[in-house]
Amino acid sequence: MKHGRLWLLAAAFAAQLSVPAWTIVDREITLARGESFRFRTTVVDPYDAFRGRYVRVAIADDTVQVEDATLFERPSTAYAAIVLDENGYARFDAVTLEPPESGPYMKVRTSGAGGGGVRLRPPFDRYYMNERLAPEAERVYRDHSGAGGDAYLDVAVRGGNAVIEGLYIEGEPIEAYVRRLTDR
Amino acid sequence: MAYGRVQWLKNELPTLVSAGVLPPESADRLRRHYEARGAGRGRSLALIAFGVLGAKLIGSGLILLIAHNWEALSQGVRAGLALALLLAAQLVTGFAHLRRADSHAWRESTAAFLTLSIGACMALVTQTYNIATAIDDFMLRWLVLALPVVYVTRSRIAAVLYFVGVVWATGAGQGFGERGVILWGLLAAIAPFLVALTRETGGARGKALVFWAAALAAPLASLFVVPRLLGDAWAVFYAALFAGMVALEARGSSDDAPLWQRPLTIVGALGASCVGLALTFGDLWRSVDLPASGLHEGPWFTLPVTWVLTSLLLLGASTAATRRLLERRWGLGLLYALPLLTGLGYATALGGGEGGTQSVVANVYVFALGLAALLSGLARDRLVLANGGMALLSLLFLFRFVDADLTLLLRGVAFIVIGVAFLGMNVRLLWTRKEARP
Repeated sequence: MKHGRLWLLAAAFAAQLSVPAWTIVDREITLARGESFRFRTTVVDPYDAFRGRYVRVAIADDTVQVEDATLFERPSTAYAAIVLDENGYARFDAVTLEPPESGPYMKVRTSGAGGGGVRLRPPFDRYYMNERLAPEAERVYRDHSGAGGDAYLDVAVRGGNAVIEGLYIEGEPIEAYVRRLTDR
Repeated sequence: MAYGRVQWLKNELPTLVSAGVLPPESADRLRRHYEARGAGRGRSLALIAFGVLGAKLIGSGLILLIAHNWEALSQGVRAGLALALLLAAQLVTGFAHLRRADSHAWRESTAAFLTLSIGACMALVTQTYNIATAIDDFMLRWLVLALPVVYVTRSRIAAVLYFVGVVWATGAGQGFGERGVILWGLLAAIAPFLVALTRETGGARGKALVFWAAALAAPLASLFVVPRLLGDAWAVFYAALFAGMVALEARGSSDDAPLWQRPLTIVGALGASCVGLALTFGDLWRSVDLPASGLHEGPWFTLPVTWVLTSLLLLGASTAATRRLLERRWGLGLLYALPLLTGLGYATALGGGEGGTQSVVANVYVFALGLAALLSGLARDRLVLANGGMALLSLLFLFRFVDADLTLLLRGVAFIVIGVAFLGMNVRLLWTRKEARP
């Protein structure tokens, strides 16, 4: 009985450690070996721009046209192929229920279909920041996002996994940009 | 023995000695025996309290120290620190399990520390890599990883934290959306621990704490899931749940146990009374319909699991009701009959109609339940039971008075009559008790 409990304790400890450890390893591998893509960002509802200490980020072109939108009527996991536009920014090109055989892709969630298009939710929606810098960062992010904006996300992508490398304003990391503004 | 009873016994000792019932040396031995137990209990409680507080202070201090330099640390270092926090919690929990197995203070404080560290570690890793995780998914992983801590350490605080987590996860995730059936899995997963706990001797306070948490968590978490899954049939589920809670505790604990040790009975009886009162309103029975969509949106087993669970609770409660009514225990029998009556009412109201008959039956039922509780309380000299029955009857009358659109004068008179009835009943009970004393 006592040995049984010890084994259970050891198994529980291993499981408790393995979940965060695997998350870390998976993200570190993606950051180290993944391909880097630059996504334009858009403004989200300003009242919901911050929850605690993170900037809520969203990709500008998050809708993909498909032939049969009925396949994506219910929210599900899907795979979005990534291509680069003429300015070097990444965008979603196609979405399938199985991973594509070639080319970079990201594992996403679909969040409804309509008008021949499917809306995609990437595996990131927040960028954590220092609490002190957060209010100014919110304002800066809002001013620089959306149509013609120069806010973008660098995202490492590997085997469907995606990890944010940084949020940039005018080519500068948002932390440095905001700190420069507040130090003036 | 409960603290209050020990005090009573100690106060009685001089009288017993002077009356010659007990020799002085036996009285001294009894006093010393209970004083030693009382001192041990006080030390143990203080150790647990200070142990948990100490763990919390150390953890908070470490977090503050690290948070001060958090921004300057690389992602890898931050992730490493998160893992180190979890590892440290595992080490002290393992040490407590292997080397301090007899100490409640060690067991409770380390298990609580580990349970909280699992969540803290996952939150820090999520933050470090900007991972988008829905709150219900995050909480679900935390609960699954924390559940073995409850089983291995048998910690009461870890079990209470688990129940708090279940309510939090269900509420924050809006009942897990289409996956509401997950709630039954989370509650079923800790059921064997609760069963084992009832078989343990001693530790009444710890046991009661866990069962209070369970008694409150099950109906609260269900609030976010059941209306979506079962639609208008929510009342059938809740009637079965509350009656089942009372029936479960009636099997395992005696009628003489103090109220704080009977959480399932208290929450179950209160909940059943609320369901019964809700059913007396005619509006509830109008346009009753089958569950619209909730049961069909989730995984394929959502519908069968939910109905099998409700049916089992219904069957159990009906059997218990029949048995108690045959034994002429009217109060318990009527309470156990609530799920069956609600189910029949729901089935007959499905065809349409104004729900008048169902509402009348519900009024008669609540009246009978209140009266049975009141009479049983008076006959068995139970103030709480008698007052509970009286409160149920009063609420029924008040609701009907509100429905009936009566004048203010009549309502005022009704309030006075109910108040006088309450006072009269309590005075009578107290007078009977006084007379019964030698």
